Amino acid sequence: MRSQIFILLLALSAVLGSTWQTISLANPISLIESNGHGMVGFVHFDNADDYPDYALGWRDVREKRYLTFLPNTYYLFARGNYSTGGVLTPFAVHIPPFDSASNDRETARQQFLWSKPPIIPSEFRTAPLAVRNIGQYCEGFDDIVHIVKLDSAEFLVKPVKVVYHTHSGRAVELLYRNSRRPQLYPGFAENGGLHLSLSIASLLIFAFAIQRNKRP
Amino acid sequence: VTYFFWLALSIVIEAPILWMGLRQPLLRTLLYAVLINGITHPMAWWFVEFRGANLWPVEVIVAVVETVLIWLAFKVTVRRALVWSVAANVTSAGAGLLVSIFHY
Repeated sequence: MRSQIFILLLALSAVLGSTWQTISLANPISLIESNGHGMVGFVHFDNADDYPDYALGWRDVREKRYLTFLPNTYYLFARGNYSTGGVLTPFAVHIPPFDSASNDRETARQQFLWSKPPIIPSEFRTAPLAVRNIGQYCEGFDDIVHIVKLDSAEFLVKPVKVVYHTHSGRAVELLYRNSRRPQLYPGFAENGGLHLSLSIASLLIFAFAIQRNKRP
Repeated sequence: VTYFFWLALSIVIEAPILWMGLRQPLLRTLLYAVLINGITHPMAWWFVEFRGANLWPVEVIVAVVETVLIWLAFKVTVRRALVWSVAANVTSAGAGLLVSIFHY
């Protein structure tokens, strides 16, 4: 009986601990409105090299609660769906090597789809103009329609509207704002804390059900 | 569509398969189907969706883990647990893929 209580407390603390981590790591900036759908890619930089430090992957903009924003992160707003990015490989989708000598569109597009990690020129991270150039460069591809770096400080003042155009020319407006307080749910996506919590909680109940089942 | 939709879809598909295959009481099968999916599905989802892991190796691991859980829960032979775990997981993974293709 004592060992069962001990296991229960241990599992409970693991659930609470992982949930707490999820809450504390959750980013307060989130998508609040959109009038269309497409994909948003995330590439985060925080070192001096030309490689993204991590890519947060792709989210369907309709899945509002999955979208959170981090500072120093470039956001690639893209037309398309899981079938273009591959439902099984959301993290294989990155921006292409910035190689102006490469004119082979299909090759470059394949690099776009499969390269990891992609090479990002320094100026992409520092100069707004270069960011625009990258955006134009990528417009030749089927998937990326707009790239923008969003400064999290902007969100502290007012909601930020991002407009991009789909391949068919329709404008998609996304409105982001600072949620002002950490949210539980966004961390669900980035940290997996609630996934872990759910698994542990289920395992705990399962173990008790089995234990109960054993009794004569 | 939230994550919980996919979890529910997985349970709705796998529970009847386990019930028909293992021939255990309905309520008991449903309870364990929820718990077993509750254990494996969140982590599998997290690895595939957010860490870029390939679906099929993850599905194999899930099937093996669920075999053990089914064996523990229903006290059937390991072979029987393996057969119905694989059947349930192949069906739910296939259905999930189909839904995602049509949905997106």
